[in-house]
Amino acid sequence: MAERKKTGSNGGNKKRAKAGGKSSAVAKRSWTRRLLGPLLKLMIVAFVGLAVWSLYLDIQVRERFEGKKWQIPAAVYAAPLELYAGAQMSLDVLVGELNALGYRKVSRSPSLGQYSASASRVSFVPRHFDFPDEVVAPEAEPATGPQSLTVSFSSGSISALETTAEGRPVSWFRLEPRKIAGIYPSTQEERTLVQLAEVPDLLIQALLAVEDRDFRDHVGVAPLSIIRAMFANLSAGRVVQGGSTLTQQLVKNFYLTSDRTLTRKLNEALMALLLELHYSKDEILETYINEIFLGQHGAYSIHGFATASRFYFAQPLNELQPHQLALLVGLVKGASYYNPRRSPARSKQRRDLVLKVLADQGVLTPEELVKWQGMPLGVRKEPGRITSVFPAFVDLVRQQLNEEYPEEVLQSEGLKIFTTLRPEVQQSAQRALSSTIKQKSAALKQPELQGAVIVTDKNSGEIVALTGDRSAEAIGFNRALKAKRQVGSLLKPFVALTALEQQPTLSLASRVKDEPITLRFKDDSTWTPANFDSTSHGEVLLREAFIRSYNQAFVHLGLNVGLKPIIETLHRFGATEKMNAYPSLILGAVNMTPLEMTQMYQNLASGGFSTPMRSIRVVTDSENKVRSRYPYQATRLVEDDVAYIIQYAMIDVVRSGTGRSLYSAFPEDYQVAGKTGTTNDLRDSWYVGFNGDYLSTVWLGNDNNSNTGLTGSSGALQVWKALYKDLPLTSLMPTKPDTVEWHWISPDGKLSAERCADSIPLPFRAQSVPVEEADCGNVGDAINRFWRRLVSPLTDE
Amino acid sequence: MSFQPSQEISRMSATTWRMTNRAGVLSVLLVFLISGCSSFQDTYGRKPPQPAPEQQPGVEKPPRDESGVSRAPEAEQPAEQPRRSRPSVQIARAEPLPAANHFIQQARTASDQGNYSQALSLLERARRISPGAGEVYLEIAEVHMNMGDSDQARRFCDKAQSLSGDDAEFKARIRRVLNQLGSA
Repeated sequence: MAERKKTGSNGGNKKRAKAGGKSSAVAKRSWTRRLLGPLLKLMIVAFVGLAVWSLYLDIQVRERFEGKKWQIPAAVYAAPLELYAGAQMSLDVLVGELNALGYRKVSRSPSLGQYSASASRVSFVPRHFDFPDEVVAPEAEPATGPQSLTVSFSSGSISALETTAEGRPVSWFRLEPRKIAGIYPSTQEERTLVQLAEVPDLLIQALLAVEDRDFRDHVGVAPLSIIRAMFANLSAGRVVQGGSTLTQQLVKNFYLTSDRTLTRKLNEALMALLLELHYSKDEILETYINEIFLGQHGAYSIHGFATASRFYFAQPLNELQPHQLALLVGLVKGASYYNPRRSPARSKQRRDLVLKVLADQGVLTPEELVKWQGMPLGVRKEPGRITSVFPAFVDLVRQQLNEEYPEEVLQSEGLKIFTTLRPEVQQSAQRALSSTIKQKSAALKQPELQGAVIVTDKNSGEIVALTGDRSAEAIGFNRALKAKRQVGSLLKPFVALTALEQQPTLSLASRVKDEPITLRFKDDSTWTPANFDSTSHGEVLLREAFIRSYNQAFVHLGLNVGLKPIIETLHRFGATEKMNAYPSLILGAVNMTPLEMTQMYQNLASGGFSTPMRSIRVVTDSENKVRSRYPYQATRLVEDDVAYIIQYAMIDVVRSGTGRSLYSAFPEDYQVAGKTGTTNDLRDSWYVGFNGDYLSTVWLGNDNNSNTGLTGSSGALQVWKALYKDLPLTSLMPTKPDTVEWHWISPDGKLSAERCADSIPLPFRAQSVPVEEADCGNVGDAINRFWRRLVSPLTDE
Repeated sequence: MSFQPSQEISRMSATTWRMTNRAGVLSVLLVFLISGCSSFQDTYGRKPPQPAPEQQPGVEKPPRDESGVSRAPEAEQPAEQPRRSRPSVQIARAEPLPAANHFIQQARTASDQGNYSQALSLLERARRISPGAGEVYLEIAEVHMNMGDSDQARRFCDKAQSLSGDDAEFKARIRRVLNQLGSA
């Protein structure tokens, strides 16, 4: 930019020099003509030169202005918190969300942007937000203005939602979504932009009173102020005062250098005039409010009042009180010199001066002046976040966006991206991962231990949380998306599923051989898989093999089914790798990312329906018109009964198998499903598990693929446990298909009854129910059946 | 009447849970005698968190391992014998929550006016509130049918079917939609 300007100015000088040469060549004319001619020509040439120069500046300034004014980066939003009676949500989650949205807690009845909370109730006055799918206005938002809502909680869910004043029930309401990121060029700061209509009047009044009283009347420059400034500068012998109008300040802000040469001043004045020529006062003021430099945060500069409001007060601009607005206006003169965090006394002096000016102009009464001057600065100690809050999740969103939108569209067209992120789950997931890794890496002397967690809404496939590093702030290698790791036993459910599909008479009560096996290949090499405990267990039920993850049993089963159908199943469920038909595949000798693994289990957890994972719900343009929509999809991948039986087997893994240690943290009647995975030499620790709401994949490992000392259940499962302690305890309750029957089974796989010792209940497809009956005394059964027949018609609900 | 063991077990288990929750004093015999609740779920298809029931006599609590690898890695190999536990089985069809019904009603109105994309948008919100309710998916299927997209309609019928539980009337509704699709 600066370079272009320089060439421009040289060009201008050349023209003038050339003009001078021409005029001196003219001689022998009448004296008037001799005098006037050159002068006239000189003037014409100078005028043309000035015109060309102005034209050049005009292009420059318009380009800059239009660019700043219309380049609105895409805004990325989290999913809104939905409130309705029956929603599984704790009071803490709602209060946390209100705090994150900058609602202020009050003890009296709340007004706009405030809330009050007791032990079981929260009342708040919501802000308006234009949702893209808002076809019917919420009941809680009548035309008369925002209404106060009261949410009552009881035992972990919302028991009532009603208007505070009349106690009228409201069937649903959703809070405005949190903005989690903007799509900027990578070096730029996060910015919040406001339209003039949203800017508090007091801010504008203060700004004009302090910085540019004649703003509404001048033409871009104010000669009187300049003269005043010149006197001040002359008497000081250097440039100490700027008589700059807001327009000039805006022009100056376009150029990041701050040299105060005369040429520069003249250029600025000229450009200010040109700006005023092209744009209305309101347009200039709005751009100024969004552009002006108001602070520095590390490498990021804070531009604009709305961004500064978040940065200093963690609140939206329209909720600031007069003393806070005055502080921001005071910063215009020197954001660094008056930095309220570093120089609070100086900043307060400046703020009080701004308030005084407002009082002098009659905007504030003398009483108000005393009141606001008496207020503390109210600046948050920690800067409000100005960079992306959840970088790992935003990574995923950008990945999806970049498939459809060019980067410059994302950076300039003001798109709104409505994502599926649930901030409270994301925070829990990150906390669970960070704390577990911290603890394990200390205990096992594994300082490099890393991990990833992905959480989906199991019913819809929406990704609600994603972390790819032990640290929340980490930017860079996102393991959730990029780490291709061996998956180990995580494939076993898909092997069993293939076997059930291929063999209609196979059931969890079928007997499989858990015996040593050695495969000899064509090149004479051999493969001898072993069990984790180095023991073979002989003939066991498939259920046993499944919940204890017996390798040898699964190799027998898998070879029996055939590798091709297994590979077909893996691909059907979402694996993208090309796979070789090696027997070791049965034991998970294939590399996949946590994201890929999540998709496969997601399809299983949704009852065997393909539910493509999504991180974006809707993309709209700046006028809220929908650009892309990503609706829920469901396509059947496997028969209901097979999916049901596998889900049940995974429930049994947690009840009685390798996932058993989960129940140290949960009540016995909390039903969840899961599968552990451990790879050779303890390189990878996996756990995938789901309750009625959420499915989560956890991976732990070292980036250099070294031994972690962790198994699936001593590592990844512990992260899962810590995460699900924070989530509602919604049991997994798959709906039983008609074709499934439950039977009590003896340890050797025969039909039995509940009262028989060691019998267990298992789900069966009709054609796979065992025929043989265990010997357990049949008299009682007959009596029971008789009674049941007698009673059940009477007690049917 | 034919004997259906599948239902019996689930009913027994359901009742047992209720008993443990309420009083925990009823004898096993009673549990066997009283069977009839088709589901122990609440009407919302979600099971409220409950205190852990008492241990069954004779069943040892498993050793609990939170320390990770202080012992030899045991993860793939739990120490205890299989536990006898009754699975929680969902047999009845889950009903949508009132808030979801609110959106279903609005969607029907929109659909009647031929405003299908609006209807789908409303049903998507209903689905988010009650994802386990087959009703929502059947409604989505019907909107797709009205839009002439029979492929999507069939898929959502499939999904509705998988959540229909033992509700014969609901299954009949799905069949009617599928029949209409077949003749279309």
